[in-house]
Amino acid sequence: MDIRKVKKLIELIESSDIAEIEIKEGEEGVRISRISSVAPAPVSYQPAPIAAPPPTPVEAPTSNGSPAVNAEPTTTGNIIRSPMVGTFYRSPSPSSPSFIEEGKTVKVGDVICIVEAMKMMNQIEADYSGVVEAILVEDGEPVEFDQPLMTIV
Amino acid sequence: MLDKVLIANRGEIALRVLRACKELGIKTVAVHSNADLELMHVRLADESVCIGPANPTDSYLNIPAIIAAMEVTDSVAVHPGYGFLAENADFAEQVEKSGFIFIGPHADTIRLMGDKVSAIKVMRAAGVPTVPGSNGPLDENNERTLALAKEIGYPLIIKAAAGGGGRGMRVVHSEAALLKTIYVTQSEAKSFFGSDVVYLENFWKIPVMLRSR
Repeated sequence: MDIRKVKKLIELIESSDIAEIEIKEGEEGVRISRISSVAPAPVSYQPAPIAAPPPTPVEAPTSNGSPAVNAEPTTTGNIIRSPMVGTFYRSPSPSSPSFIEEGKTVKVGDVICIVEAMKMMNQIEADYSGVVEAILVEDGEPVEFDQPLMTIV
Repeated sequence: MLDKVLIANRGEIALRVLRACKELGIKTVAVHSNADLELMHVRLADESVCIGPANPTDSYLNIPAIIAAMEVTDSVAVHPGYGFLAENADFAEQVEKSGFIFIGPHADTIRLMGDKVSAIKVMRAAGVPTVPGSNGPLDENNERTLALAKEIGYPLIIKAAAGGGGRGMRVVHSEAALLKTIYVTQSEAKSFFGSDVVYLENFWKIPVMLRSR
Protein backbone atom coordinates (compact mmCIF):
# COMPACT_ATOMS: atom_id res chain seq x y z
CA MET A 1 0.00 0.00 0.00
CA ASP A 2 1.89 3.11 -1.08
CA ILE A 3 1.79 6.52 0.50
CA ARG A 4 -0.23 8.10 -2.30
CA LYS A 5 -3.01 5.54 -1.91
CA VAL A 6 -3.09 6.19 1.83
CA LYS A 7 -3.20 9.94 1.31
CA LYS A 8 -6.12 9.62 -1.07
CA LEU A 9 -7.93 7.37 1.41
CA ILE A 10 -7.43 10.03 4.07
CA GLU A 11 -8.82 12.73 1.79
CA LEU A 12 -11.85 10.67 0.87
CA ILE A 13 -12.57 9.80 4.49
CA GLU A 14 -12.05 13.33 5.76
CA SER A 15 -14.96 14.46 3.66
CA SER A 16 -17.25 11.91 5.31
CA ASP A 17 -18.50 11.31 8.90
CA ILE A 18 -16.51 8.12 9.37
CA ALA A 19 -14.59 8.11 12.68
CA GLU A 20 -12.42 5.08 12.10
CA ILE A 21 -11.82 2.77 9.19
CA GLU A 22 -9.65 -0.28 8.70
CA ILE A 23 -8.83 -1.70 5.29
CA LYS A 24 -6.98 -4.91 4.54
CA GLU A 25 -5.42 -5.72 1.19
CA GLY A 26 -4.06 -9.23 1.32
CA GLU A 27 -1.40 -9.15 4.00
CA GLU A 28 -1.21 -5.38 4.15
CA GLY A 29 -3.63 -3.18 5.96
CA VAL A 30 -4.18 0.29 7.26
CA ARG A 31 -6.32 1.73 10.04
CA ILE A 32 -7.21 5.40 10.07
CA SER A 33 -8.81 7.03 13.08
CA ARG A 34 -10.08 10.53 13.47
CA ILE A 35 -9.07 12.21 16.73
CA SER A 36 -11.09 15.36 16.24
CA SER A 37 -13.05 16.72 13.33
CA VAL A 38 -10.36 19.34 12.72
CA ALA A 39 -7.06 17.50 13.22
CA PRO A 40 -5.70 15.49 10.28
CA ALA A 41 -6.41 11.77 10.71
CA PRO A 42 -3.38 9.82 12.02
CA VAL A 43 -2.49 6.64 10.17
CA SER A 44 -1.39 3.43 11.86
CA TYR A 45 -0.03 0.50 9.89
CA GLN A 46 -0.75 -3.12 10.65
CA PRO A 47 2.39 -5.04 11.66
CA ALA A 48 2.49 -6.84 8.31
CA PRO A 49 5.30 -6.96 5.76
CA ILE A 50 4.78 -3.69 3.95
CA ALA A 51 7.49 -2.18 1.80
CA ALA A 52 8.57 0.98 3.59
CA PRO A 53 7.10 3.88 1.62
CA PRO A 54 9.84 6.14 0.27
CA PRO A 55 9.99 9.45 2.13
CA THR A 56 7.88 11.35 -0.41
CA PRO A 57 6.67 14.80 0.56
CA VAL A 58 2.91 14.67 1.03
CA GLU A 59 1.58 16.11 -2.20
CA ALA A 60 -1.30 15.29 -4.51
CA PRO A 61 -0.01 14.20 -7.94
CA THR A 62 -0.79 17.07 -10.28
CA SER A 63 -0.02 17.47 -13.94
CA ASN A 64 3.31 19.07 -13.02
CA GLY A 65 4.08 16.88 -10.05
CA SER A 66 4.49 19.84 -7.74
CA PRO A 67 1.85 21.36 -5.43
CA ALA A 68 3.27 24.89 -5.70
CA VAL A 69 2.05 25.10 -9.30
CA ASN A 70 -1.62 24.93 -8.41
CA ALA A 71 -1.36 27.14 -5.33
CA GLU A 72 -2.65 30.66 -5.78
CA PRO A 73 0.28 33.11 -5.77
CA THR A 74 0.09 35.88 -3.18
CA THR A 75 0.06 39.26 -4.83
CA THR A 76 -1.51 42.66 -4.48
CA GLY A 77 -1.89 42.86 -8.25
CA ASN A 78 -3.46 40.70 -10.94
CA ILE A 79 -2.72 37.15 -11.99
CA ILE A 80 -2.29 36.32 -15.67
CA ARG A 81 -3.49 32.76 -16.23
CA SER A 82 -2.84 30.39 -19.09
CA PRO A 83 -5.79 30.33 -21.52
CA MET A 84 -4.83 26.86 -22.75
CA VAL A 85 -2.94 23.63 -22.14
CA GLY A 86 0.59 23.42 -23.50
CA THR A 87 4.26 24.11 -22.94
CA PHE A 88 5.32 27.54 -21.67
CA TYR A 89 8.16 29.37 -23.37
CA ARG A 90 9.60 32.75 -22.39
CA SER A 91 10.96 33.61 -25.83
CA PRO A 92 9.86 33.12 -29.45
CA SER A 93 12.79 30.77 -30.09
CA PRO A 94 15.63 29.25 -28.04
CA SER A 95 18.12 31.81 -29.33
CA SER A 96 15.90 34.91 -28.93
CA PRO A 97 15.64 37.04 -25.81
CA SER A 98 12.64 36.61 -23.51
CA PHE A 99 9.48 38.54 -24.26
CA ILE A 100 9.47 40.07 -20.78
CA GLU A 101 11.42 40.02 -17.53
CA GLU A 102 10.43 40.65 -13.95
CA GLY A 103 10.31 44.40 -13.40
CA LYS A 104 9.35 45.20 -17.00
CA THR A 105 6.30 47.34 -17.69
CA VAL A 106 3.65 45.78 -19.89
CA LYS A 107 0.37 47.01 -21.26
CA VAL A 108 -2.77 45.12 -22.26
CA GLY A 109 -2.15 43.27 -25.53
CA ASP A 110 1.63 42.95 -25.19
CA VAL A 111 2.91 39.45 -25.95
CA ILE A 112 4.29 38.05 -22.72
CA CYS A 113 5.03 34.42 -23.55
CA ILE A 114 4.29 31.49 -25.82
CA VAL A 115 2.23 28.42 -24.99
CA GLU A 116 2.95 25.70 -27.48
CA ALA A 117 0.52 22.91 -28.27
CA MET A 118 0.15 20.59 -31.25
CA LYS A 119 3.24 22.16 -32.84
CA MET A 120 1.61 25.61 -32.82
CA MET A 121 3.28 28.48 -30.99
CA ASN A 122 0.46 30.52 -29.52
CA GLN A 123 1.38 34.03 -28.46
CA ILE A 124 -0.17 34.88 -25.12
CA GLU A 125 -1.06 38.53 -24.56
CA ALA A 126 -1.23 40.38 -21.27
CA ASP A 127 -4.76 41.18 -20.14
CA TYR A 128 -3.55 43.61 -17.52
CA SER A 129 -1.22 46.61 -17.65
CA GLY A 130 1.46 47.21 -15.05
CA VAL A 131 4.84 45.96 -13.93
CA VAL A 132 5.69 42.26 -14.06
CA GLU A 133 6.04 41.29 -10.42
CA ALA A 134 6.79 37.58 -10.65
CA ILE A 135 7.03 34.97 -13.40
CA LEU A 136 5.73 31.75 -11.90
CA VAL A 137 6.59 29.16 -14.52
CA GLU A 138 9.94 27.93 -15.83
CA ASP A 139 10.85 27.98 -19.52
CA GLY A 140 9.76 24.70 -21.12
CA GLU A 141 7.40 23.73 -18.29
CA PRO A 142 3.95 22.26 -19.12
CA VAL A 143 1.00 24.40 -18.11
CA GLU A 144 -2.70 23.69 -17.77
CA PHE A 145 -5.76 25.86 -18.38
CA ASP A 146 -6.09 28.66 -15.80
CA GLN A 147 -2.66 28.01 -14.35
CA PRO A 148 -1.13 31.24 -12.95
CA LEU A 149 1.74 32.31 -15.24
CA MET A 150 2.74 35.66 -13.75
CA THR A 151 1.60 38.47 -11.50
CA ILE A 152 1.28 42.08 -12.59
CA VAL A 153 1.14 44.99 -10.14
CA MET B 1 0.53 -2.93 -22.84
CA LEU B 2 -0.04 0.81 -23.01
CA ASP B 3 2.12 2.90 -20.68
CA LYS B 4 -0.18 5.83 -19.96
CA VAL B 5 -3.78 6.57 -20.94
CA LEU B 6 -5.58 9.91 -20.82
CA ILE B 7 -9.26 9.58 -19.93
CA ALA B 8 -11.28 12.13 -21.91
CA ASN B 9 -14.40 11.98 -19.79
CA ARG B 10 -15.60 12.47 -16.23
CA GLY B 11 -17.76 11.09 -13.45
CA GLU B 12 -18.76 7.47 -13.38
CA ILE B 13 -17.56 6.86 -16.93
CA ALA B 14 -14.06 8.10 -16.08
CA LEU B 15 -14.02 6.05 -12.88
CA ARG B 16 -14.77 2.84 -14.75
CA VAL B 17 -11.99 3.46 -17.26
CA LEU B 18 -9.70 4.39 -14.38
CA ARG B 19 -10.45 1.14 -12.58
CA ALA B 20 -9.77 -0.88 -15.73
CA CYS B 21 -6.43 0.92 -16.22
CA LYS B 22 -5.42 0.26 -12.62
CA GLU B 23 -6.19 -3.43 -13.00
CA LEU B 24 -3.99 -3.53 -16.09
CA GLY B 25 -1.18 -1.53 -14.51
CA ILE B 26 -1.66 1.42 -16.87
CA LYS B 27 -0.86 4.94 -15.65
CA THR B 28 -3.79 7.33 -15.80
CA VAL B 29 -4.29 10.99 -16.63
CA ALA B 30 -7.58 12.70 -15.79
CA VAL B 31 -8.64 15.86 -17.59
CA HIS B 32 -11.14 18.24 -16.08
CA SER B 33 -12.74 21.64 -16.38
CA ASN B 34 -11.85 24.15 -13.71
CA ALA B 35 -15.26 23.50 -12.11
CA ASP B 36 -14.55 19.77 -11.78
CA LEU B 37 -11.24 19.96 -9.91
CA GLU B 38 -12.59 18.11 -6.86
CA LEU B 39 -14.29 15.24 -8.67
CA MET B 40 -13.29 11.76 -7.59
CA HIS B 41 -11.84 10.64 -10.92
CA VAL B 42 -9.45 13.60 -10.79
CA ARG B 43 -8.31 12.75 -7.27
CA LEU B 44 -7.82 9.07 -8.02
CA ALA B 45 -5.92 9.40 -11.29
CA ASP B 46 -2.11 9.42 -11.28
CA GLU B 47 -2.00 12.84 -12.95
CA SER B 48 -4.53 15.47 -13.88
CA VAL B 49 -4.68 18.39 -16.27
CA CYS B 50 -7.16 21.25 -16.24
CA ILE B 51 -8.25 21.70 -19.85
CA GLY B 52 -10.81 24.48 -19.83
CA PRO B 53 -13.71 26.29 -18.20
CA ALA B 54 -16.94 24.66 -17.03
CA ASN B 55 -18.71 24.74 -20.40
CA PRO B 56 -18.12 21.28 -21.95
CA THR B 57 -17.66 22.79 -25.42
CA ASP B 58 -14.54 24.53 -24.15
CA SER B 59 -13.24 21.64 -22.09
CA TYR B 60 -14.43 18.03 -22.51
CA LEU B 61 -15.34 18.65 -26.16
CA ASN B 62 -12.25 20.77 -26.82
CA ILE B 63 -10.17 18.60 -29.13
CA PRO B 64 -6.96 20.72 -29.17
CA ALA B 65 -7.00 21.03 -25.38
CA ILE B 66 -7.27 17.28 -24.95
CA ILE B 67 -4.53 16.53 -27.46
CA ALA B 68 -2.30 19.19 -25.85
CA ALA B 69 -2.92 17.51 -22.48
CA MET B 70 -1.75 14.23 -24.01
CA GLU B 71 1.40 15.94 -25.23
CA VAL B 72 2.36 17.54 -21.92
CA THR B 73 1.77 14.33 -19.96
CA ASP B 74 3.44 12.01 -22.51
CA SER B 75 0.28 9.94 -22.69
CA VAL B 76 0.32 7.16 -25.25
CA ALA B 77 -3.41 6.75 -25.81
CA VAL B 78 -6.75 8.37 -25.07
CA HIS B 79 -9.88 6.59 -23.91
CA PRO B 80 -12.91 8.72 -24.79
CA GLY B 81 -15.39 6.85 -22.58
CA TYR B 82 -18.85 7.28 -24.08
CA GLY B 83 -20.75 10.41 -25.07
CA PHE B 84 -18.58 13.54 -25.43
CA LEU B 85 -16.02 12.82 -28.17
CA ALA B 86 -16.41 9.04 -28.24
CA GLU B 87 -18.32 9.04 -31.54
CA ASN B 88 -16.52 12.01 -33.06
CA ALA B 89 -14.64 10.77 -36.13
CA ASP B 90 -12.65 14.04 -36.37
CA PHE B 91 -11.36 13.58 -32.85
CA ALA B 92 -10.29 9.99 -33.56
CA GLU B 93 -8.55 11.14 -36.71
CA GLN B 94 -6.74 14.06 -35.07
CA VAL B 95 -5.56 11.87 -32.22
CA GLU B 96 -4.06 9.38 -34.65
CA LYS B 97 -2.55 12.15 -36.80
CA SER B 98 -0.89 13.60 -33.70
CA GLY B 99 0.85 10.29 -33.11
CA PHE B 100 -1.36 8.91 -30.35
CA ILE B 101 -3.65 5.92 -30.08
CA PHE B 102 -7.42 6.39 -30.03
CA ILE B 103 -8.98 3.60 -27.98
CA GLY B 104 -12.03 2.91 -30.09
CA PRO B 105 -13.04 2.25 -33.69
CA HIS B 106 -11.07 3.63 -36.61
CA ALA B 107 -12.13 7.15 -37.65
CA ASP B 108 -13.51 5.83 -40.96
CA THR B 109 -15.65 3.26 -39.15
CA ILE B 110 -17.06 5.94 -36.87
CA ARG B 111 -17.93 8.04 -39.91
CA LEU B 112 -19.46 5.12 -41.75
CA MET B 113 -21.67 4.02 -38.89
CA GLY B 114 -22.48 7.56 -37.76
CA ASP B 115 -24.35 8.17 -41.01
CA LYS B 116 -27.42 5.96 -40.89
CA VAL B 117 -27.82 5.78 -44.66
CA SER B 118 -24.28 4.50 -45.19
CA ALA B 119 -24.55 2.23 -42.15
CA ILE B 120 -27.64 0.55 -43.60
CA LYS B 121 -25.88 0.16 -46.95
CA VAL B 122 -22.90 -1.53 -45.30
CA MET B 123 -25.13 -3.85 -43.27
CA ARG B 124 -27.10 -4.90 -46.32
CA ALA B 125 -23.90 -5.56 -48.26
CA ALA B 126 -22.80 -7.76 -45.38
CA GLY B 127 -26.04 -9.71 -45.60
CA VAL B 128 -27.51 -8.37 -42.36
CA PRO B 129 -31.30 -8.02 -42.60
CA THR B 130 -32.50 -4.43 -42.18
CA VAL B 131 -35.90 -2.85 -41.70
CA PRO B 132 -37.57 -2.40 -45.12
CA GLY B 133 -37.15 1.17 -46.26
CA SER B 134 -36.00 3.56 -48.94
CA ASN B 135 -32.44 2.11 -48.70
CA GLY B 136 -30.99 5.46 -49.57
CA PRO B 137 -31.56 9.17 -49.02
CA LEU B 138 -34.63 11.01 -50.30
CA ASP B 139 -34.10 13.59 -53.01
CA GLU B 140 -35.95 16.58 -54.51
CA ASN B 141 -38.12 14.31 -56.67
CA ASN B 142 -41.45 14.18 -54.85
CA GLU B 143 -42.90 11.59 -57.20
CA ARG B 144 -40.08 9.24 -56.44
CA THR B 145 -40.56 9.85 -52.73
CA LEU B 146 -44.28 9.15 -52.92
CA ALA B 147 -43.68 5.95 -54.90
CA LEU B 148 -41.07 4.75 -52.38
CA ALA B 149 -43.47 5.45 -49.53
CA LYS B 150 -46.26 3.55 -51.24
CA GLU B 151 -43.99 0.54 -51.58
CA ILE B 152 -42.89 0.68 -47.96
CA GLY B 153 -46.43 1.13 -46.78
CA TYR B 154 -47.95 3.21 -43.97
CA PRO B 155 -47.32 3.87 -41.13
CA LEU B 156 -43.75 4.70 -41.96
CA ILE B 157 -41.06 6.77 -40.25
CA ILE B 158 -38.85 9.56 -41.62
CA LYS B 159 -35.37 9.49 -40.14
CA ALA B 160 -32.44 11.90 -40.28
CA ALA B 161 -29.30 10.20 -41.62
CA ALA B 162 -27.11 12.13 -39.18
CA GLY B 163 -29.56 11.79 -36.33
CA GLY B 164 -29.23 10.19 -32.97
CA GLY B 165 -30.76 9.93 -29.55
CA GLY B 166 -34.23 9.44 -30.97
CA ARG B 167 -34.35 12.90 -32.46
CA GLY B 168 -34.92 13.95 -36.07
CA MET B 169 -37.58 11.26 -36.63
CA ARG B 170 -41.28 11.52 -37.41
CA VAL B 171 -43.98 8.92 -37.99
CA VAL B 172 -46.33 9.37 -40.96
CA HIS B 173 -49.68 7.56 -41.06
CA SER B 174 -50.97 8.56 -44.46
CA GLU B 175 -49.78 9.79 -47.82
CA ALA B 176 -51.51 13.16 -47.38
CA ALA B 177 -49.14 14.11 -44.56
CA LEU B 178 -45.94 12.74 -46.14
CA LEU B 179 -44.34 15.61 -48.01
CA LYS B 180 -45.08 18.24 -45.36
CA THR B 181 -43.70 16.01 -42.62
CA ILE B 182 -40.56 15.32 -44.65
CA TYR B 183 -40.00 19.04 -45.01
CA VAL B 184 -40.35 19.64 -41.26
CA THR B 185 -38.06 16.72 -40.41
CA GLN B 186 -35.43 18.01 -42.82
CA SER B 187 -35.39 21.48 -41.23
CA GLU B 188 -35.18 19.97 -37.77
CA ALA B 189 -32.37 17.65 -38.82
CA LYS B 190 -30.48 20.53 -40.38
CA SER B 191 -30.56 22.56 -37.19
CA PHE B 192 -29.88 19.66 -34.79
CA PHE B 193 -27.34 17.68 -36.76
CA GLY B 194 -26.11 19.99 -39.50
CA SER B 195 -27.48 17.78 -42.29
CA ASP B 196 -30.94 17.61 -43.82
CA VAL B 197 -30.47 14.17 -45.41
CA VAL B 198 -33.42 11.92 -44.52
CA TYR B 199 -34.64 8.46 -45.46
CA LEU B 200 -37.77 6.36 -44.98
CA GLU B 201 -38.40 3.15 -43.10
CA ASN B 202 -41.26 0.86 -42.21
CA PHE B 203 -42.52 1.97 -38.78
CA TRP B 204 -42.46 -0.86 -36.28
CA LYS B 205 -44.53 -0.09 -33.22
CA ILE B 206 -42.94 -2.79 -31.06
CA PRO B 207 -39.28 -2.83 -32.02
CA VAL B 208 -36.54 -5.08 -30.78
CA MET B 209 -33.15 -3.52 -30.16
CA LEU B 210 -30.14 -5.53 -31.25
CA ARG B 211 -26.72 -4.15 -30.50
CA SER B 212 -23.47 -5.55 -31.74
CA ARG B 213 -19.85 -4.45 -31.38
